[in-house]
Parts: sequence; structure tokens; C-alpha cells
Amino acid sequence: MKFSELMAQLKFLTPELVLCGCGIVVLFVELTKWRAKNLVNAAVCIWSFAAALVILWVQAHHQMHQVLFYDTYLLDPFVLSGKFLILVAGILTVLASTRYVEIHEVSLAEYLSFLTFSILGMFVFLSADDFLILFLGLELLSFPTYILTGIKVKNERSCEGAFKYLVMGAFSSAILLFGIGLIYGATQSTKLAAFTQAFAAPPQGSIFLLGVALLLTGFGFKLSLVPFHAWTPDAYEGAPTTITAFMSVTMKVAGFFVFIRVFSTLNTPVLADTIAVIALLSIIVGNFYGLVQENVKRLLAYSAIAHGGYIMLGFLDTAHRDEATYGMMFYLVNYLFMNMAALLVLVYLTTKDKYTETLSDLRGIGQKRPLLGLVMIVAMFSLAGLPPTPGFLAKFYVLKSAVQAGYIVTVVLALVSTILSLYYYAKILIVMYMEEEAAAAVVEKRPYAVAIAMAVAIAALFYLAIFPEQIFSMLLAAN
Amino acid sequence: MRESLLTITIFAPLAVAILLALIPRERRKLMEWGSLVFAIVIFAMALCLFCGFDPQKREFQFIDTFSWIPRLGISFAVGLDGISLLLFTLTAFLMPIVVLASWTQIHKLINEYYAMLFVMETAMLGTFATTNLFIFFIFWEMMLIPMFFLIGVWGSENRVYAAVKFILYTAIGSLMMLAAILYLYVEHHHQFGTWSAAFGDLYRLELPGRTQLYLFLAFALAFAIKVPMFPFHTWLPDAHVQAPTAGSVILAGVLLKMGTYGFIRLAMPLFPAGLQMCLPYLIALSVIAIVYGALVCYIQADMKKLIAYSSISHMGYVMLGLLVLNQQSVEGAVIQMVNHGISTGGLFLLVGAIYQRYHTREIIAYGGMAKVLPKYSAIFLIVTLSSIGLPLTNGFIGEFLILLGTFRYGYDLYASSPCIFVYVPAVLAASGMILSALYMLWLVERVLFGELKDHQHHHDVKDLSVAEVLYFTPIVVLIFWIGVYPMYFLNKASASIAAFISMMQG
Repeated sequence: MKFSELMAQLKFLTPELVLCGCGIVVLFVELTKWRAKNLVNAAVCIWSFAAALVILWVQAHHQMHQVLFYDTYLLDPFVLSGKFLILVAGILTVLASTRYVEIHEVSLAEYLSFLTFSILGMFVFLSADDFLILFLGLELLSFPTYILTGIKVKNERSCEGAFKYLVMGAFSSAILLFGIGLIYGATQSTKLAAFTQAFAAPPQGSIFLLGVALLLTGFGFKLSLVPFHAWTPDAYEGAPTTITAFMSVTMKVAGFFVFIRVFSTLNTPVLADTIAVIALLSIIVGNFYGLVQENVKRLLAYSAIAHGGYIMLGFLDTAHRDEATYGMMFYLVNYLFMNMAALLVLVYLTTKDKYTETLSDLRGIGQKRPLLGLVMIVAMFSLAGLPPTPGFLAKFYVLKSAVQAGYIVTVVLALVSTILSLYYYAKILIVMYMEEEAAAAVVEKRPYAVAIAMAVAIAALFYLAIFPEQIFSMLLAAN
Repeated sequence: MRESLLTITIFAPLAVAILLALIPRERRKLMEWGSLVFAIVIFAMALCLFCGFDPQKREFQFIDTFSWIPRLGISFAVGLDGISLLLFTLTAFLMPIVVLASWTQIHKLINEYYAMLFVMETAMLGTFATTNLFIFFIFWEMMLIPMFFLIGVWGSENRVYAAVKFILYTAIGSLMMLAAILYLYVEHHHQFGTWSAAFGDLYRLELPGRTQLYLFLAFALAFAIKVPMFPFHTWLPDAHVQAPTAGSVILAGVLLKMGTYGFIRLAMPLFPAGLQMCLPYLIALSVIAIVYGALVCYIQADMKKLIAYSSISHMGYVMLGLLVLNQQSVEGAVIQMVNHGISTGGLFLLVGAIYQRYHTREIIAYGGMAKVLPKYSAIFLIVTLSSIGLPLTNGFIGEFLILLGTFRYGYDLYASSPCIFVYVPAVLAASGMILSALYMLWLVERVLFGELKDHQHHHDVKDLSVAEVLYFTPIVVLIFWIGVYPMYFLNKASASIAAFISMMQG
């Protein structure tokens, strides 16, 4: 393939290039002496994300299906929809971050450029059709998040969380790479197509299965599944709340989309049972440990572990792959907005004097600020999966796939542990509505950007609840 | 418009809730009057449905269908038959009363309170009116959220404990039911090839006996917790005592009926074989509820708790009537559902009224109230007699029909298994009538009659205010109307009940 042809293929990568440009421009703007450079940076970011969103939309609308760069980079509607979701999460995060970052005296430009490059990494991760590119994408998305988790350098918790995340992340990346190596040894190719073909009928007693196990480990780390979840609570607690929101949502979206692509030909009952056990354990661990948490971010970290388990349950329906996939996609869309909404409430309430993250910080908020309380009510009950919130529909879809695959007992156990989660989501609401406010909180000026982000999230949740059919059609088209 | 009256009636309260949330907090009078007016309008709409109902037809009327998620075969389908009509109208009937009772009792976060009440109304109306299992589950769970807040924010001292207990206890039953619903849903797809959750489609499923047993147990757990059946009743006393008056009235008046309605509509017709296997145990539990509920009332020191346990006892009657499955007993059960809503709702309103004045629910703190509050005592006595089941009051109709049906069940059973024990449920249930008379009349004697206790402010306690007279009057009217001329109400339901029984026996 000639160099000019390779360059011609770049035009399909416009969203990635836009992101790349954005990241660089932001850093250059930081070098200037403009007084409003933070605002400019935030604007640059939001506009570039929006531009990338539009380009993705157009590409998906035209049912683009391209394999680029020597069959290593795939663009198809499924992948494009994943990128779309990640960008939406990115825009909401940037909206929430501007004032928040100023409060914590972090350089906004560094923050935004790391964010942008992480998103770029997720794009590469999603589109990878070759294990090496997949690994490249994984590292590109992980490194900025390691840094972002610890970006509040003077905060002990932050450093601890970042350290644990970094060390465990490095280990899991290494294990993933080892797995890729073994699979290369077994299939003589790093291409994903070769892997999926071999995975459909795995050769017994070969290093292929060992490679698959190591691959699962790597993915399990990123998706916060048991037993690879130990970094999640500390990292989520230590990270700035906006980054917690970003990480919890986008890593799941990226991770699950790629998981679906990589393991799409799952056929062996033993492996399916293993995944079922992992999913069930994630649900149970996430729901149990969340019960005793005092810190809301830690609580939501355990809830993230549990939700990862639920989504994984949807994967088990190997006979009806399409339906299962868009059940999982629907769940991810829902999870994006409900987790964002919950964490954005915390961001809204954070001021220079009060860093809102524990349950006692939230006391009485529901009574003093009804709209904020309403956002939290919708978010909490949606996370718990209670009708009429869209979270219920998502759970229903995913559990229906699991039941169709025959995993009734697993579903029953998962539902039993859902009760536990209902308790800790209700606990947040109890603290907000049924206890008196400790001290009057003063918010100097309303963080309108955060309010807009919350409004978008809640509006999306309402739309998902009332018109799920439109979303299903969109997801189906993306499949 | 006419065709969608049912859907409009179901969602009108939700629209009202949103409307009320927009009213600024300071305009309290506007909020209260607005709520009352809207509640009455919704009741009027429900009355239109009630009067427009054709008692001759056996199938669902006022059917309305919106395709919601065609891919999953889930459509918003509503329709009323005789049984759901009565419960639907009861719900709409109780709302204005509850709103009016709340005027003087709720003082904080008023916007949220009335909004929650109306969201609750949508959930309750929807549960009774829907003919699709998925939608049923949505409305069923939807009522947990407002109730949780109603108890937890506006309740008494121990309200958080009661609210958490309520929501977790009820949710665990519901989630087990969800597992069963998922199984049914997937099974329907296996057997018929299409996705559907409509009641009619699911009734046609062929399920093996063992499976039916497990599914029945899952559904029965959810409904047994709601009814509440012994031994799943322990959330009820706490919830009732700690809830504000309006919350208790709605809880007793409507929410408990949702459990028994679930049995009639879902657990029993979907899994007849499962029902048969569990029948002796369920009958035993119902009878235990009747007798145990009544006996525990004697030792209660708190008025609301006493009435809560009497609820358990009354719902035992209803369950017994349903389980015995003949025309009289099921008619008695259905009318008793309505009666219990009216009389126990009335009792909670009475307790709320006296709590308003004296700020205590302890029975020993009261005595000789008849001297201070004559009108109140008159109404208290009437509602008590209705609760006991005195002839000419509504309670008698329900209890008599249920007992008749239970004796008849024993009589029919005697032919096949000649053992005197077939009459045990009937005899024990009949004894419940006596026990309920004993504890209620004793309560009346302690509170209304006897020596006036030493309160400082007997002289500035007023008898019933205009508002209170206004909301007690419909209750008293209905007590006597149903008691003297029940056929007006029973006729609406008998065709549907006959259809239900023939479906169970067929």
C-alpha cells in the first residue's frame, strides 16, 4: 500500500484528528498570557468534542464500514456509536470541570488535554482490529487517567488512589500483553479476526485458552469486575469527582464495546459459565461492600462494580447475540446518564470550603434545594433499577438475555443482591431528605455549566424512560 | 377522547403532580386548594368510568392500548373489569379525603408532599387498570418511591426505620416476582414465538407443575408481603404507625388491596397447579392472620398499631375468601377489600384527628372523649361498628359472604374427604368476628367512654371542624350504602368474578 493511499485513509479518521488537534491547541493556549485562557480552553474542548460528535453522527448515518491501515483499524456503526457515547460523556465532564478545577487549583489546560488524549485512546481502543493497536489504545487511554486520578497532587487520598490504580493498571496491562503474546503464538496472527475465528472453536489444551484467560484478566481490570476490582474504590474516591464521573462511565463503555467485539464468538459453555460467575460475583461484591460506605464516591465505585456485573450478565446470551448486544448497549447508555447525574450533584455542591463527598456532606440538601434533590432521586432509583426509571428497563433487558440463555439461578441471586443496593441508594436519599442540614452551605455563584450538564443527563434519562423504542431503533441500526 | 378516558384518569394525577411542583412554596393555600380540586376532578373521572361500566359483560372494558416497545412486545394496555373497577374507584375516592385530611397535618415541604401523593395515585390507579404484566410491574414498583418518602419525611419519630423497612421488605418480594416475570416472558417467547406480556397471552401458557410451583411461590411472596399475610406482616405495624395520617390511609386503604388484587389477577390464574399445591398452607396462613391479628390487638398500647393489626386480621378474611374460590366468597372478598379501605381508612383518619388535638396515640392517655368530642365519638362508633361487621354496615356484607363461602367450601370438601377438620377454617374465621368485636369495642370503651383523663386543655379542644365533617361524611355514607344496598356494587363485579372462577376451575 502506498504512502499516499495511507494518507488518503486519514480522512476517515477526522474525529480522532480533531481530538488530537484539540489536545495540542489547549496546551498552546496555556502558554499564552490571556486572562480568559481557561474559558477559551474549555470552549475549544467543547466545540471540538461537538464537532467530532457531528462527524461521527454523519459517518454512522451513512452506515460507514471501513477497515483501514492494513486491516488494523475498524470503523463501523457499532464502534462509531461507542465513540459517540464517550464523546457525550466527555462533553458533560468538561462542562462540569471548569469551575471545579479552578477550586482545586489544578491547571485546567493540563486537565483538559489529558482528558482529550484519554478519549483519543478510547477511540483507538474501540476501533482496533488488531491486538497491538488494541494494546496501544488501551495504554493511551489509561495513562492520562492515571495522571488525572492523582492530579490533586497535594491530596493524600488522591495520590493513594492514583498509585494503586497505576500499579494495578500496569500489572494488568502487562498480563494483557502476555495474553496477546500467547494468542499470537496459538493463532500466528495478531488480528482480531483470527482470534474470533479461533475462539469460536478453541483448540483444547493449548496455550490459546491460557491466552484467553489472561485477556479476560486484562479486561476484567478495566471493567472493574471481581476479582480485579480492588483498585476501583480507592481510585474513584481519590480522583477529582469530575474524573470519577468520566472514568466510571467511559471506561465501561469502551471496555464493554471492545469486549463484545473481541469475544463475540463465545460458544463454549464452560467459558460462558466462567463469565457468569464473574458477573454474579461482581454484583454480589459490589452490592455488599457498598452497604458500609460513608463516602459517596466510594459507594458509587462499588455500585459501578455491581453494574459491570449486570451488564456482563447480558453478554451470556450467545444464541441471540444481536439482542444481547443492544441490551448491553442500552444499559450502558442508561448507566452513562445516571451515574453522571449522581456525581454531578456532588460536583455542583463542591465549593472552596466544602468538598462534598461523604454522606454527612449531603445532609438536608434535598430539603433546601428541591431541584438538586430531584436529580438525585431520579439518579438513585435509576441506579437501583426501580420502575419507572429507565434503569429498570435496562436491567430488565439484560436479565431477560440471561434468562433466555438459561441462567435462571444466577438471575435470581442477582436480584436478591439488588435489594442490598437499594438500601445504600436509599441511604443517600434518606440523608438528603430526612435529616437536618448540619450547617448552611453557601454557594457563591451558581455553577451554571454543571447545572446544564445535569439537566442534559436528567432529560436524557426521562427520554430513555418514555421513548425507549427510539433508542432501541438507533442501537439496532448501529449493530 | 372518550375512548382514552381510562388512560387520562391514570396519568392525570402525574400531570397534577408536575403542575403542583411548579407552584412556589409560599402559596400554601393555592397548593392545598389546587390539590383538593384536582383530586375531586380525578374522582369525578373515575366515577364516569364507574357509571359507564356495563355489568353484564365479562371481559375488560374501556380498553386502551398504546404500543410502547413493540420490539419487546410491551404495550401500555389498560382495561377495567368488575374487580379492578371497584378498586380503581376506591382509590380515586380516597384521594380527595386524604388531601383534605392533610391540610392541617402537613407543615413542611408541602410541594413535595402533594406531588408525592399524586404520583402515588397514578401508580395505584395504573396497577389496578393495566392488563400487561410488564406495565403492572412498573406501576407496582412505582408506588414504592412515593411511599418511602411519605413515611420517611413526613412521618413520626421512628420514620426512617419504618420507611427503610417498608421499601426493602416490599422490594425483595417484588424482585422475586421480577425473576418470575422474566421467566414467564421468555417462556412465552419459547412457546408462542412472539414477545408479549399481556395477561391474556400469559394465561394461555402451558407450564409443568414443578415450574408452576416455583413461579407461584415467587409471585405469592411479593403479594403475600403486600397483603400482608402472616408471617410477612412485620413491616406493616411500623409503616402504619410511623406514616402520616394520609400515608396510613392510603397504605391501608389501597396498597394492601394491591396484594390481594395481585393474587386474583396474576398469582392464581397464571399458576393454578401451583396454587393447588400450596392451598392448604395458604388457607392456614390466612386463618392464622385472622386470629393472630385479632389477638395481638388486645395488648397494643398505641392506637395506630392496634388498627394496623386489625388490618392484618381483616386482610386475612379477604385472602381466605379468595383462596376458597367460590362465587360467594370471592364476591365477599372483593367487597371486603372495598369495605376495609373505607372503614380502616376511616379509623386512621379518626386517629389522625384526635392526634391533631392531643398529640399522643397512647390509649391510656385517653378516656371519656365522648364528653368532649361528641360528634367525633359518634363517627368513631359508626366506623368501629363497620370494622366489626355489624349488620347494616358494609363490614357485615363482606364478612358474611366470606364466611358463607368458607363454610360452603368445607361442605363441598366434606363430600370427598369426610373429616370434620374441613370446617376448621370456617369456624376459626367466624371466631375472628367475635374477637374483632371484642378488641374494637374495648378500644371504644377505653377511649370514648369512662372517666375524662387529666389533660390540661380539654376546654380548648374543638369538636369536628367543617373540613373534618366534610371528609368523614362520604365514609359514613358509603358505610351505610354498601351495608344496606350492596347489590349496586356487587352487581358491577359479579360477572367478572364468575369469569374468574370459571377460569380457575377450567
